[in-house]
Amino acid sequence: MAKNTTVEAARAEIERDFQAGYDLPVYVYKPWCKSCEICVALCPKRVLEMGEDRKPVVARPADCIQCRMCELHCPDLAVFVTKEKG
Amino acid sequence: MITMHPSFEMLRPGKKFPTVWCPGCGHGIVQGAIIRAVQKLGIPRDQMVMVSGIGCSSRMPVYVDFNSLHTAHGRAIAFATGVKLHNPKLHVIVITGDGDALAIGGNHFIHAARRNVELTVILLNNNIYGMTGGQYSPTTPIGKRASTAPYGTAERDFDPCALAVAAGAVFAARGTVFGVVELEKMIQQALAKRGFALVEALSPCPTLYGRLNREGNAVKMIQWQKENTINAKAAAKLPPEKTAGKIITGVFHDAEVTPYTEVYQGIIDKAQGQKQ
Ligand SMILES: Cc1ncc(C[n+]2csc(CCOP(=O)(O)OP(=O)(O)O)c2C)c(N)n1
Ligand code: SF4
Ligand code: SF4
Ligand code: SF4
Repeated sequence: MAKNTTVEAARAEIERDFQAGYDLPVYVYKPWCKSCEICVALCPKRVLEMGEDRKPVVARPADCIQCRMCELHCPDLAVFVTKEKG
Repeated sequence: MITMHPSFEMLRPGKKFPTVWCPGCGHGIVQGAIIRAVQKLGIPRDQMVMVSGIGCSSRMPVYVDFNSLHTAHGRAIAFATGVKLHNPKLHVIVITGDGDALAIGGNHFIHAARRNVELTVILLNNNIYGMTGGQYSPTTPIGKRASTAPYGTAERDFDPCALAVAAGAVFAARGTVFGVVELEKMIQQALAKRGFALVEALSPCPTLYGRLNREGNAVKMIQWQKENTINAKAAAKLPPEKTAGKIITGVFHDAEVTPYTEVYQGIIDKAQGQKQ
């Protein structure tokens, strides 16, 4: 299930992960994810997979082309690209 | 360099997320496109006013950090007209559902278009009343099921874009959440217009419309959009049998007509005796 948090709390939590060395091209903020699977289905490179907790996992980060299809189609702002293209 | 979600800065501080919308509801995807369109145009959020009626779609103004008005069912356009007339410098965007805009609010919709009030109307069309349990709406296609039409509706549906153009709108476009990049461009174009501008966003409701019509989950409904819509420019080059049964998307109308607040200012000037 999704968990309710404010955007300030979300930002702080994600920044902590970044500071701890998060280095994948996409980030999934699980508390806002409703497990709709749209991002998994629309990723042209099959980078994302549904995990056992019914949240997307960045399974094949090396294949990500930073096209942002996951980010643009997520209804809940729960997945985004962390690195600029190129 | 690792970067944060670019839309977070536009979310209302202190508001709990995620939204009330069901998993995979298209309304959240449309919200994202609106946020990016405003960011790309560089409109300061203090100059944005988001006005909505009642419905699942109409919940949007509580999530986006603009000035906001969440009004009565069907009346968003009437309130928005008041805001725009009071302060024509503001960018007024109306968030409305197919029930809100075309059933109870149908008269406001056509008359605001006729007057050419400068409003950006984003009609989130999910072909059903989402919030109240799936009653059919003026855009439920004939034969499709709803909680009030268990054997399929017997009524023909409105084409909201054609209706707006016939009533006098200066801009009318239809996009999908599958084609969210094009949808965002349409919203940008609409925000830049001076006049009544409609963007109809086809926004799947998996919980009610999808379930009642056995169209599957959110993913299936978005993939359906991909297979069953065609851009007007591409459609014009194809023989009619290739486009039969498909929903046409794109910008249908883009005209220049003196906007209402400008005409109205003329009346004010006359009344105050500054002009004869
Ligand atoms: C005057 C009045 N009549 C009826 C209602 C009940 N009502 C609330 S939302 C709604 C329809 C919502 O459908 P739509 O506008 O298509 O938005 P959606 O929920 O599908 O996004 C209705 C009939 C109301 N709130 N007020
Ligand atoms: S940015 Fe594109 S390639 Fe990378 S995970 Fe998202 S959808 Fe897949
Ligand atoms: S699209 Fe968003 S809400 Fe849906 S599964 Fe992906 S991250 Fe979660
Ligand atoms: S009922 Fe339909 S329109 Fe309302 S939030 Fe759920 S999916 Fe969206």
